[in-house]
Amino acid sequence: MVPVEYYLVLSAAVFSIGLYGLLTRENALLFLMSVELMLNAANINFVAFSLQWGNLTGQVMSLFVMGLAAAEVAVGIGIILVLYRNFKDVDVTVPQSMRW
Amino acid sequence: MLGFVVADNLLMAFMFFELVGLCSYLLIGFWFRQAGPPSAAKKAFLVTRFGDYFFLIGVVAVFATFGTAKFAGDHSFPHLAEQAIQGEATVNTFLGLEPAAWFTVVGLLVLGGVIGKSAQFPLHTWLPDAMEGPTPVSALIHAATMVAAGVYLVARMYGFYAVSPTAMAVIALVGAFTALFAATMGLVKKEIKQVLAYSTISQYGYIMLGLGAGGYVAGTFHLLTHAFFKALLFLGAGSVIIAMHHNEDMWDMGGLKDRMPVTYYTFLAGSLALAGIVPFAGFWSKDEVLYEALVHGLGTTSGLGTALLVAYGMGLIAVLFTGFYTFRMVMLTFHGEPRTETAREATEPGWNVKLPLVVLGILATTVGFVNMVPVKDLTGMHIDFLHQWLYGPSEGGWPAALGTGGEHYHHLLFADYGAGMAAAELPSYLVGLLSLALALFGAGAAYALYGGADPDPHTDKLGSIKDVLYNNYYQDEYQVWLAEGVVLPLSKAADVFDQAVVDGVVNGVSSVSLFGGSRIKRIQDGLVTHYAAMLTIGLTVLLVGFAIYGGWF
Repeated sequence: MVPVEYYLVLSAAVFSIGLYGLLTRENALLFLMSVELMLNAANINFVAFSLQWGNLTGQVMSLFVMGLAAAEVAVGIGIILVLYRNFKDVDVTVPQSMRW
Repeated sequence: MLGFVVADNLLMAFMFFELVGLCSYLLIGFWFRQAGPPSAAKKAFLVTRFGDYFFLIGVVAVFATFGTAKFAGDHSFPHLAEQAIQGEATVNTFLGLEPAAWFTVVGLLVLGGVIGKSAQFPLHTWLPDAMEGPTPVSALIHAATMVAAGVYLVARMYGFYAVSPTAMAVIALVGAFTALFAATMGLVKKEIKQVLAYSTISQYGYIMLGLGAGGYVAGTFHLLTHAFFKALLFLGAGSVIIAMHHNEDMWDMGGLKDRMPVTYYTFLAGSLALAGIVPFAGFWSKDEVLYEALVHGLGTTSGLGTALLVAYGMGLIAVLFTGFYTFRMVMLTFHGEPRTETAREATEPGWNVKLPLVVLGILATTVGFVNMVPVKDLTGMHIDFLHQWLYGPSEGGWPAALGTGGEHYHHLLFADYGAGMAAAELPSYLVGLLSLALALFGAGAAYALYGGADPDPHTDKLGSIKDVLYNNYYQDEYQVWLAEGVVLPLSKAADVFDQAVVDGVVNGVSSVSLFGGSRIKRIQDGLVTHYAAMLTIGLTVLLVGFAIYGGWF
């Protein structure tokens, strides 16, 4: 059996890639993808610990996270569509009017 | 007032007490377009409010001490107080006082409201000014309501006062001093309603004296009889004032006896009752008050006994003055020759005025018969009906069930843990004869001085004493000075403190927040990536913080 540390390292790597993407990209679609990466890093953790402790709670939780991710993408794509309609662009640095 | 009478706890009593005050304010200010009445109404409201302030603190203290404010029953605060003093119940006391001392403090706080409402010294100044109101209003608020509310409250929570000798002494002394003090001022007044106003203050002093001297029945009895004869006197004065075309100066009257016989005879009945001449109502009740003060004063050995004896002395002198000012009023108004054209042509008002006078006149003559203690002592007949009713039957009955009977109060007053009173053996008719003689002497003096056809203003011979009395011992001036010379500078200083320090702190806090907000709001620059970066930084800082303080390393 693969020890749980390997899964954790994988999960941390995926999370960090997602975080890096979130902080550096300007394209809104890439934002969404980065968020997906971070959520799936969490899923890896859940499943890994589920295997480690031998119960199904973590797996069930990861199913919940997938459902949540699907809903989040639906809302996110909707926001991006509105963004595109208003600014003719999906660059998140362009809309700056919602500030103090 | 009805709500106040049926209220079963102190808080409701307080609220109805205030409503009575409000109604008096509105009634006194009935003629609000003139200059005097609104100002008198405001004075009545403010002066009684000053006393009610202490009452309010007393109500809060009763709640904080006992957790209840019920007047009667096993879980009432007088009952709990009694048990606490005997060590059978625990209550919260404050200021580090023993239960007995703390109950005295609470009782005196509530007494503040009583002194304001019942026009006792030093808060009596509103009552003479309240004569600005219509005369039926004066009859109402000085006979049956308002001023009655104060002494009624003392009688209502009598079981609470009865465990505190200090509070009893204060009640008796304040009452007796007020009785004497007001009677001296009534000696020199010119207006008929002013004389009646001071007699009201004086008579309420007697009621307080009776209650403070351990005469629960005597005090309530005097409250009962006073209501009849004082309402009668005010309505009689109203009749005279109508006939005199709203001139209240007694020196402009005279000889009204023949012009208005019904008013004269009913007024005379009321005056005889007020002066305490046998067998009119006031005699029986006033003499019982004085009798209780004397026997308890003589019997009690502690300081309370001395206080009661002093109070009895003041009450006895006030009897003399009462007889004098009452019959000075009667003589000046109804006897002698008419001194003005209006008095010569005065006509008695119709039966709508006279009928209440007749009814009250009969009652003022006879209501004393419900409680003739001296006659009972002389003949052995059981005709002290008020006593019997307030003491209740020997078995069962409401007074025993509620713990508010005269028997229970008597027990409390004489108990070691209570007021610690004792009664001397004295025949009540002898004491009654003494005060009757004094009242007759006062009345006779008034008759001798003012009974002639054209009396002189004899009180002018008193010189500067008359000026002092006529100006009410400069009580009003002194209270105005107190308000303007002491309270106003104090409140100005408080205002400066409020503006500078309290408001300064508040304004400082708000300007710091405003300045901080105007700087910190620039973080929100509308750029989504910056928000994401800040979230990440925040999470990192949190994690590092937890790591350091949680000892992960």
